[in-house]
Amino acid sequence: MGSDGVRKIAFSALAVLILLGGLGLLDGGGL
Amino acid sequence: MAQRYGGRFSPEGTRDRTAPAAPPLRPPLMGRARTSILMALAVVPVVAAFVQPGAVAVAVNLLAGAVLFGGAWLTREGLRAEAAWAERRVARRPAVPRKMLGSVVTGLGVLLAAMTGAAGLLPALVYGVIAGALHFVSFGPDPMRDKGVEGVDAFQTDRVARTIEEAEKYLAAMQDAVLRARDREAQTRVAAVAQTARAMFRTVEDDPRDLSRARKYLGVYLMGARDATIKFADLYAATRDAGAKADYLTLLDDLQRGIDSKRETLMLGNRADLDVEIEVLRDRLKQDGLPTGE
Repeated sequence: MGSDGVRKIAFSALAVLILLGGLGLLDGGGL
Repeated sequence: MAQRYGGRFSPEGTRDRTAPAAPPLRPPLMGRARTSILMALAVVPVVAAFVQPGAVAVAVNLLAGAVLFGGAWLTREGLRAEAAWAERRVARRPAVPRKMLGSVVTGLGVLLAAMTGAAGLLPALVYGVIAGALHFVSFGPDPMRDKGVEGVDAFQTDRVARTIEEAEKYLAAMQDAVLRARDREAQTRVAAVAQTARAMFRTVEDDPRDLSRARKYLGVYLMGARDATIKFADLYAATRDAGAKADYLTLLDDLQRGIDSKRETLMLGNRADLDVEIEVLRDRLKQDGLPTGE
């Protein structure tokens, strides 16, 4: 797995973080 | 934008073989899709805003959405600047490191979004830092160094960069205006002229001293071509006048040939400079009694 793979994983993690953060689900919060 | 279909057997598809080949396509912007995803994700906190308890939470969520969108936009601009930097052989680093700024702004957006969840300020801060770091890993740093400016004086390179920027504007205006003519052949020819002109830009970038000799081609001629293109597009869109089109295409051909031969002259000039340098060095070596292979 090259740096491209790392980039992809980092991007996916970022997307999930924004999604959860946006929905207010981080830290066990809820809608 | 949609393009009218045309091929060898289409009514307007008969082109002589001496006509310049179609220019190669520019590669698409790397990572553009990812910035689109980020822009789409910026909608999430905005939608979630309307189910938040309390006016402040709604406002913070909306702000988070706006900030995230801004971060994605900055990232896209940064990618564009990086692509332009990579394409040129002589380039200064971007004045504003937009991608890294995008990392910071994205982190800020996640911080704001996380604040409205159950998280307090400190966890939100941590989430923000994580998001910024992930963004940085996934998009990388901006180009941070000047490229190919060793041994070239900065004033000259700046002049070259400015002149070429202007010339690029003329080309863009030409390509924009010719769309109005709704004529595929004219569009292809204009694209070919743009390609030839860009080849000349690269030559001038390689040796900024060429600027004074190429200036007419980068300025007045391209400006004239742009004006002619605008006039032609307006006229041809209204009248489909075949004579006007033939005249216009001849003009483009002349321009392209002119640019091409000028570029070759510039290259020859560079060659002559090199020959002089080599000659001088060989003479010195000979004087110092070193074997020079003669």
